[in-house]
Amino acid sequence: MRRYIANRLIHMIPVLFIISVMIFLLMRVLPNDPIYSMAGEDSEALTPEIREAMMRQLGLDRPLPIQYLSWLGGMVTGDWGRSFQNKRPVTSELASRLPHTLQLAAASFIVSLVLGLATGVIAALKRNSITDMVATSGAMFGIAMPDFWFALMLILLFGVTLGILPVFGSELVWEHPIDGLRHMALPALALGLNGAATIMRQTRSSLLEVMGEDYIRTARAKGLFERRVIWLHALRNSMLPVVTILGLRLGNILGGSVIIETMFSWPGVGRLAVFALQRSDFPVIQAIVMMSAVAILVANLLTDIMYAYLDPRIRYEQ
Amino acid sequence: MRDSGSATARTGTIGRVLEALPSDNIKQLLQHKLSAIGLSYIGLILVVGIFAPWIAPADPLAIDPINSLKAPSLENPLGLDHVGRDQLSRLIYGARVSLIVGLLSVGVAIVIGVPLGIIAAYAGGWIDHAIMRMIDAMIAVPGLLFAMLLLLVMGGSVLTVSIALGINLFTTQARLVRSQALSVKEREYFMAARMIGTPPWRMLLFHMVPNSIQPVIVQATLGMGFAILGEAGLSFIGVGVEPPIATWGSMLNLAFVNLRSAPWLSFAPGVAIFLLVLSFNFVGDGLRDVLDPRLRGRI
Repeated sequence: MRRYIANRLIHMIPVLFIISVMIFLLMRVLPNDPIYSMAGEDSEALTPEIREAMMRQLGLDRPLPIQYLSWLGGMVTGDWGRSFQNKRPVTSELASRLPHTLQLAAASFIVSLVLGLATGVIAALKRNSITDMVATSGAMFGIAMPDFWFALMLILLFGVTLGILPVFGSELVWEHPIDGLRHMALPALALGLNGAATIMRQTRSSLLEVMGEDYIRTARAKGLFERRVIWLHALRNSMLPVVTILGLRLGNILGGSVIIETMFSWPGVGRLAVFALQRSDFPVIQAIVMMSAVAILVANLLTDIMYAYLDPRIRYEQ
Repeated sequence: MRDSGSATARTGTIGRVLEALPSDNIKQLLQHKLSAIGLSYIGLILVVGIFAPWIAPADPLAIDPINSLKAPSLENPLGLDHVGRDQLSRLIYGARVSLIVGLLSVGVAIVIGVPLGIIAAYAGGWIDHAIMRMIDAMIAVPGLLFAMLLLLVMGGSVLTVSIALGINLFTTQARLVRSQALSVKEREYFMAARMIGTPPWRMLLFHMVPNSIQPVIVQATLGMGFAILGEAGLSFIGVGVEPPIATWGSMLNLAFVNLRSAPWLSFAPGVAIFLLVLSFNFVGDGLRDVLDPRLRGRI
């Protein structure tokens, strides 16, 4: 197992290299000039001399390969550069925003997992009942629903009409527990719905499939309580495909919440990404993309390790 | 393998692809109730999109600032937006963008994904390795961010949005086709064809492609739903098809901005996106049941 993990980690290097070249080059062909974005409303006052001096200060006057190598070297050694916009180190900019994104991601993950697993298991156990039908059609709706429109409806109902939940900004849960949860309620629900629907469908279908297996019949035949059969034998074995979905969602935490964060003025990484994209803030975008890529690759690896843990027949030694 | 079928050898690849959908399968598909509902709804939206200029009660771009944000009335059943454009007409024209972007981006995904998957499987070795690493890289970049970046570079039009979304979609197509093609490579008929000295282009075009293409069809249908959602999302955050063209996503964006003063603007475009995506998912699920009975009822 250890060799397998090491092998997988080594395989990430070429993938990350391709991404780094791709994102670096794409940033350089952005039509928005970063210098003009920095100058903002005063950009008309920019003289060629000032522009040149700024280019030199940001290191943009150097040949592209040199720029790339010095950026890459910085990424590896932990110096991720400074934001063009506010000159703060990218690392501290991200560090102040990451907690907000992570707490939202955790909350929406819990929504997806609890709602998805519960409805999926109930629907499978009460197959073809009214409950099953309601849950299954609910999941179909959840998958087709644009998450931002669902968020819009939640804002309209709870924020505007009833006025009982905040629709703007975020508080850290470990600093202001009540207020933090109140701020998180709507965006977490909006982000979690789609995941809940996907998990529900997968849980239902794979649990149904497992319930038809011989070893379930054996477990029943040897007189185990139904509850024990379901929880110990069926559920564990039906979790494999569910784990895949969870892994995919886990990896997409940073990239998945861009629209929702923007809608709720959430001070997280997703909103920062949109902001930085619009202003051609190269170091910020490049760092966010690389960080997201690492998150996705690591989540994929964790998924495969989880597989081996859940199903001891799976061995990666070969 | 000319002897396998008289008609197929002559009609070539397209004929073989169509043959993958025999007539009784289509009947079966229509019997699949949800697919039938989905298919009819898509047909309806298609008609609405094509005949938009005749159906729409007003010009979707004509402004009427004096009546801006007017509530729904008999004259304007869905109300007017912030510059006084008729919401219903914009909704009708918006169907065009959703359908065209859906079709085009799936087309882009197939045009990039299928050849890559086939080449990777057929060539094997370092070519396979290089293609797969590139696909791994594409998958590891958050899709929406990457699409936004591409659109900022290319500018927002129906074509560029479709390209950006197609680039997001092709990885699934390529992986599906590759794994299918790898199994074709091991089949007896394929080895037999190679042994009798069939030239490589013939092997690819007449044996590998037709036999590897089936999962593409299902994935393409499900991809339509993804693309329609993606286009709406991109337009919603303002990097999609550029205004003033009416799209469902940009209509929702304007509804969001005017949520307090004109909440009615936020309903119809959302329902429209939702129903169209739902329909494509219904059809995709139905197709999967028909084309791959092993998966029936599973996902």
